[in-house]
This record gives sequence, C-alpha cells and structure tokens, in this order.
Amino acid sequence: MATASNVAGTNPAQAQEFTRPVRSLWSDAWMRLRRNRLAMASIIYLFLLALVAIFAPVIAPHSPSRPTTTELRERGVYRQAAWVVDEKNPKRSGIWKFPLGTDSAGGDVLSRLIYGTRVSMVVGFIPMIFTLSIGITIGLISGFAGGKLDSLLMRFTDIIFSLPDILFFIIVQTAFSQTAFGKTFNGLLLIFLSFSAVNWASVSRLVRGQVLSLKEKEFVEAAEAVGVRRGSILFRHILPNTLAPIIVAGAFIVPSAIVTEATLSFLGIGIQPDTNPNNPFPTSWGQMILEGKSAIDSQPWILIASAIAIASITIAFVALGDGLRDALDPRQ
Amino acid sequence: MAVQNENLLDINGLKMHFPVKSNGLLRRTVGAVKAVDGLSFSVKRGETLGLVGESGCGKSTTGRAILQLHRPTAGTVNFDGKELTKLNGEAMRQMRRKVQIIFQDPYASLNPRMTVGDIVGEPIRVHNLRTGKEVRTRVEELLRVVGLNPYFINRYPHEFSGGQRQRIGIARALAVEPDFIVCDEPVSALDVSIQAQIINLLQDLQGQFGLTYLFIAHNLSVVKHISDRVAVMYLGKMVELAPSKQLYANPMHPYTQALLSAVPIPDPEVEKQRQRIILQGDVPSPLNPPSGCHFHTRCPIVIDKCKVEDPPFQDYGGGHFVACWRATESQEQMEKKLQ
Repeated sequence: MATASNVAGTNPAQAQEFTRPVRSLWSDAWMRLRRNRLAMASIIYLFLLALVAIFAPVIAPHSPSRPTTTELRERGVYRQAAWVVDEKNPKRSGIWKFPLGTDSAGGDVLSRLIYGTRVSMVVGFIPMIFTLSIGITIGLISGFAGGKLDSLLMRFTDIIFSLPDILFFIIVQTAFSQTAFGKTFNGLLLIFLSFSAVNWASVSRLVRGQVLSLKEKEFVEAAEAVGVRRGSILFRHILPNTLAPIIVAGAFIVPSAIVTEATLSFLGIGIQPDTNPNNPFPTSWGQMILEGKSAIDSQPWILIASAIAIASITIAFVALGDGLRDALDPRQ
Repeated sequence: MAVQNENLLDINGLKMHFPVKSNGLLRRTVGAVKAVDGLSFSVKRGETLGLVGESGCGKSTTGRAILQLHRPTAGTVNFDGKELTKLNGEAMRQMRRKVQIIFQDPYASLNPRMTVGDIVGEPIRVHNLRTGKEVRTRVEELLRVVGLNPYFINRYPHEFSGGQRQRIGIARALAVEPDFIVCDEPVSALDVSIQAQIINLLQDLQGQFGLTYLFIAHNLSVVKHISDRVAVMYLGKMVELAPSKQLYANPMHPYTQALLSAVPIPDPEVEKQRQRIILQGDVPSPLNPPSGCHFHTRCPIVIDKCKVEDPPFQDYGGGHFVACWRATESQEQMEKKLQ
C-alpha cells in the first residue's frame, strides 16, 4: 500500500523510536497513585496494620482476654499507662510490662488494642466485598436489562436506600444477637450481613448509572454491530469500564463499615466480648471506647488509645479512597 | 450460479420512529420522533452512495437502522437477497459479518480498556474466522492494511491520535471481511489534512476488497469526492438522489440548491460572485413534522399544493430522483426569487 506507508510508525526503522513500555489505563492510574504521598503513606500504614492483625498472637505481649484469678493477683487490679505515677496508690502506677496499663479486670490494654485491629480489618473488608457483590449484580442487571425489571429493581433500591441505617442495625442486633446465628464469630457475621443489606443500594445506583451511560457509547454499538453476544458485551465492554468508580466506592465503604462496627460496639450491641483466650476476635476498638468512657477519670488511656486507632485507620482509608479517585479519573 | 442482483441493498419504506414517553408513573407514549420517515433507495454492488443532510435529519439513524442497531419501525431492508428486519439471534449475528460500520467519533468508538489487538481481534474470535496464534497474525495484517504499524498491537486507544484511532476502527470493520460498510461521518471529527488520508484509505480499500459504501456526511465536497451517487435528506425524508455529477451540476430540489449554494469556492474571485440562497427559519421538529412536503415551511418557491400533498420521490430521467412538485421548474423559479 503505497499511500499508507507514509504514515508515522509504518516504517520498521521508525518503530524503534516507539520502544517504551505499553501503558494500560490501569498502569497509568497506578503511576498517578504512586505520586500521591498521602495515599502511599496510607497504603503503608494500612499494610502495617494488616500485618499486626494477622500476627496479633506473636506481637501482643499478653493475652487479650481477662486474666484468671491467680494472674490477677500478680497483675494488680488495674494499672495506669507505663509513664503515669499514681502517688496515692503506688500499686496502680504504670510499669513497662503493661505499656498502656491494664483495664479494670486486669486485661492488658495494648494487647487488646492489637487484637482489636483484627476486628476492624475484617469488619472493613468482608462487608465491602458483600456490599460490592450485591450492588454490582443488581446495578448491572438493572442498567443492562432496562425496562420493567429496571424500574422494579430501582424502586426496591430506593426503599433500601431510605432505611435509617443505625435504627435498622439496632433492631437487627436486638432481634438476633441472642440466637446461634447472631453469636457466630462473636456477632461479627450479623454485623457483616446487616451492614451489607443496607449499603449495597448506593453501589447499585452507581453501577446502574455507569452501565446506562456506557450502553450508549459507540464502542458498545460497534461490538453489537460486529456480532458480539450480549453477555460478552456486558462482561468485556461494560463491566471493565465501570470498575474505576466501583473501586473508589469500595475504598469508602471500608471506613464506613469500621465506624459502624465501632458505633454499635460502643452502644453495647456490636460484637460480644469473649473471655475464651482462643477466640480470634476477643475484642474490638469500639468496645474499648465504651469501657474507656466509664474509666475516663482513672484510666484515660483506654479511651485515648482506641479512639486514636479508629480515627487513624478511618483517615487512612479515606485518604486512600481520595487518592484512588484522583488516580483513576484524572478528568475530575 | 444465479445471476447476482445488481443492487446489494434495497430499502423500501424505511421508517424509524422513537417513542416519546410521558414523565409520569405510567410512562405513556405521547408521541414519536420521526427520525426516518419513509425512505426507499438502493445501493448498487461496488458503488459508494453518499448521504448528506444537516444535523438531525436522520442520516445516522438510517445507517443504524440498516445495520439493525435500531430495529426499524416499518419498511424492509433487503441485503443481498436477505431481509434483515426479519433476522434474529444467530442468523442476525452471522449476517453481521457482511455488514459493518465505521463511526464518527474515533474517541468513543474504541473501548479504552482493550488493547488494539483485542479490539481488532474481537470480530475474528466472535466469528471463529481464525484460531489460536493466527488471530494475532491476522490482526497484524489488518493493521498493515490500514496503514498502522503492527508493532502497536499491544497499545491502548488513548495512546493514539484521532486519525490513527480511526484507522483502528476501520481495521475492526474490515476484520470480518464485509461486503458493505456504513461510514457514519468517518472524517467529521478529524483534521482536514487527516481527512484526506482517511478518505484515500477508504477508496484504496474499496478497490482492494470490492467494498460497497454508504457514506454519510454533512460535508458536500467530501461526498462529491468519494461518491458515485449522492442522496440528500431533509427531516427524515430523501428529497433528491442522483448520480454525483448530475446532482452537483443540476440540482432539482430547492433544498439541494440551497445546500450547494452554501459550499464555499476555493477561489476568492469566484467566491465573491457566489450567490447564496439563505433559507429562512429553523428545521421543524421531527416530533411534529409539517404536513405535505416537509420542506414547505422554508421553501422559497412553495405553492399551495406543497402544504397539503406530499410529493412523490420520482425519477426525472437517468436515475435522478426528486421529491418536489416543482422539480422541473425549480431552478428557473429560484433564479427569479434571487433577483
């Protein structure tokens, strides 16, 4: 083809100039995210927290559960944080064996804090996966099918969307917390499910909106014109183009789930405290805030430490979510 | 072997109406946008039929209705002896191998998450035209055919310029080895210098693969260059269809005359002399088109008959079709109006 050979890049010698790595939109986004310092710091912090959660039994200096009576005698009833000196009652002064002191029952605060990381990590990620799965499925069906099914699903979504979250959680917890189902994983399963049951609505709205706009794009029409089957159009052309906003939404669901668990535990209807030392989820930060609140005069560190833990993990996830949004959609 | 029909595509009474729903809960149909309102024409094997008209006159909708991307409301689309409007499912999918489309916007017509290799390779895989490694070889071959370096096969669309993207779109259309391609304003979104490259490429490909084109555009000089015959649309109807030379030399419909008078002449001396026919008012809404001839509200030489009776799309000799009651005297009358 004589006419076409003049086009840039057709000549093999010229092609050498183009030897640079191929960059997909995903690798472009990753490059942008890497330049965002706050987001990268958050990723590192969250990665460290994940390690703490996984290796809690190795890291924690003591058992997170309440000590037995003999141990109790040795530990004393409760101790202040290590650097605090209690002049009236020297037995309560802090020692470095218990850096953040012990609670009213003699449990080591630092160890409980370390184990609490587990609950927050699990309570952040698992409901996110549930929420996204339900939301994406409903959103894809609704947007792609359109018509009556779409109207039906969207009215149902509206109903779920209008539920007052906290009230719903409280009702569910009071109704089921004493059943075997409600006690699974210290009540965590119940929290996962009730959180996902109300939060998928916003995801499905988001996905549906994306699908509706992508359906009208010319590349979808082109796929149709070429004879690509409807299923392939949905999964090869539409779904990959909705992923960026879904990832961002996912990053914001995690902190919201963590805060929800903390709120419920603070209200005393979240996870149930367990004295069994083999339980992997013996306590949560929300529960520690509840305990710390009543001991705020005598042992402020229980409250302060757990509040800092919740605040920092939430901020880290939100910062990561912001970073992802900037990285994945540079136009906004 | 049976004698092949001279016409590859026969369209009869094609109508594409889009229902307009009310906003309430019941969503009743309150009207219809008559985007295409009764078209009859044919495209000969191996020719290029240019289709022109202003924005919103139904050009693109016609293209999409032929491909059954929009199912026509009424009428028949006969392609190579098969009635496309009656095909469904698998039969329709097979048919898509023969009829392809090239889109206007090279930025929207390529999936940003797929590599060039996947975009051009998809039609090949979908129709099982090649298997395994041969798919890649075929994609490289197609890229070479449209003037792209096969080295780009792993690149993503955002790494290309508009003209290069349009070439990728052409390669995708060619991948299924079609007989007929609807070119939906393939150069409108490109630079003038790139437009020429793409048009030449399309002409080369036509010679090489014996393609038939329906070339939709609103640029009359582009259409003149590439088309054997040209059709002019106004508000969902065809007003004139004639061999290219004849249409440009002897336009019989007042609307065509107005359109042609708007084309600038690249010679300042002649350009100064150019007399423009300025049409008054706007294009009426396709929701509620005028009675009789759709053009009567803006026609400089309208007569009473035009307002009531729709003129037939009639052959005035040599395949010169016009839908106008005053076709034979229109030029003379327009001259008078201008003075």
